[in-house]
Amino acid sequence: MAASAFLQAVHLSKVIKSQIILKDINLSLDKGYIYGFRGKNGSGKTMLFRALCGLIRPTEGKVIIDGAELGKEMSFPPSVGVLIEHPGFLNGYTGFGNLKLLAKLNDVIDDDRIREAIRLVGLDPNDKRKYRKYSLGMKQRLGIAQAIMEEPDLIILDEPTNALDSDGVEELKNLLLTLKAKNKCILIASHDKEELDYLSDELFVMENGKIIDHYSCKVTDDE
Amino acid sequence: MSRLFFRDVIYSVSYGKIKYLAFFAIAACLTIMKSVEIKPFSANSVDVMFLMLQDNGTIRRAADYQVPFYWEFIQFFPLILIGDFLHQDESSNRTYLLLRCRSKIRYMIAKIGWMTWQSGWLFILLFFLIYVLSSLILGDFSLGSSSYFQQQIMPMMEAKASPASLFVHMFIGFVVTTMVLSALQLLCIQFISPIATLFIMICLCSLSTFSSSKWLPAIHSMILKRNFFDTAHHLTLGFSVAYSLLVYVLACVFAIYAFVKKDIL
Repeated sequence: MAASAFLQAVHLSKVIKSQIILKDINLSLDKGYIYGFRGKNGSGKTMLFRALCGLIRPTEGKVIIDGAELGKEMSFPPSVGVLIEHPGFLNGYTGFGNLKLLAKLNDVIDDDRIREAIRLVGLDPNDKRKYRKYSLGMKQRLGIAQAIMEEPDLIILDEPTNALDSDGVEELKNLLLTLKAKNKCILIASHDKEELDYLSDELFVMENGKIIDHYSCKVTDDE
Repeated sequence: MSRLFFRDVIYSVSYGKIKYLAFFAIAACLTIMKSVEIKPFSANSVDVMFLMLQDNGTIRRAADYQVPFYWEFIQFFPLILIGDFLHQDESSNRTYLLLRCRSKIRYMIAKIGWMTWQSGWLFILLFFLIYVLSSLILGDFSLGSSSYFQQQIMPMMEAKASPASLFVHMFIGFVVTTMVLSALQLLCIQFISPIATLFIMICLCSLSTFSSSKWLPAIHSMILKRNFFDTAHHLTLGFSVAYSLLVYVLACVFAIYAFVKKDIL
């Protein structure tokens, strides 16, 4: 395992009420790559993402981000954007208003950056419609916008293509490739093998809380 | 932490505005009904507040028991509003807020701050609403001793108290009781479902309508069980405030401890 990896999971296990949720997960992930996680419902993808964010504490093992151990040297990663479940956006606010309310918590980005994030996911930042008028796909796009707006080093997206139409999926793919080029470490979970194969540099297959397969998806020009 | 608190304030008002409006609309209707009912007796707003916010008093025989609907409505509804927001925020926003504020303790302190603020402003607005509406209907904006107070309320008292004292006891009683019950709600939702939590709160409040034990958390908003209506139980304002604050602090500390220790699933 590379000592210099941006994100490391070392023998990570989680047991909840005698049930093994994650079992001996080892990861070594770097910036500038997209990592895909595939598996059936209940295979442990979301729990793994929660553990990597510091939301659940491992029963055994550890998570190291940028050299600091999660849960010991820091409670949560210093720079992370996630989409794990639908954020509870306010129905009476516009997309921009909702993101601004969240962005104010850290106050590290201005209105222009929020508008840019909304534009990047294919929405109109000047759209005056309230969130309640948004379609499911638009809600998903706004969820992705909140994950990327603060330009975090680590981006974790659980089923980001849910509710997106084919154009939306294509736009998301382009967005992720742009973020990858900006040296972000991107983790995505999906059921769709083709989609993950296309997007990911490395793919992890999960089953019953374990990584049962791991392979590189990118082929060189020679190959 | 203050950013998280202000975000909670903005979010809760926007999220629950229809429910807040419903609460104040019902309270306004009850105020109008009570005011019209006692208009012929030269009453003022303190009398209306007393009639609206009073409980069923100390029960000496089971046959005397009457459900104090007004008191239960005024005590339950704010708890439901507070619990509803706490549950909504826990289930939908917690992940996103925690990863931005990066501290479970800061997150919880902001929630506790919001609960305290909520317990205060809801009752400030409620008392103000009752004062304005009843004063307009009764044509008397004073808070002094009315004929109704002297003839109807004072004879019920075992120890004399002024209308101002009655007002202060009712207002502080409801605020501290709501604070305590909210803190207990916050503690309970760390372990059990919001529905089960609400059921526990209803049981806690209902217990106080049967019993006169001053150790029950919901009894401190019950004006008829205070020492000037019922000297036997020594329920003074000082005791209510001190006891409620103690329970509030303990519940908040345990809630923070439980939240820090638990996984965010």
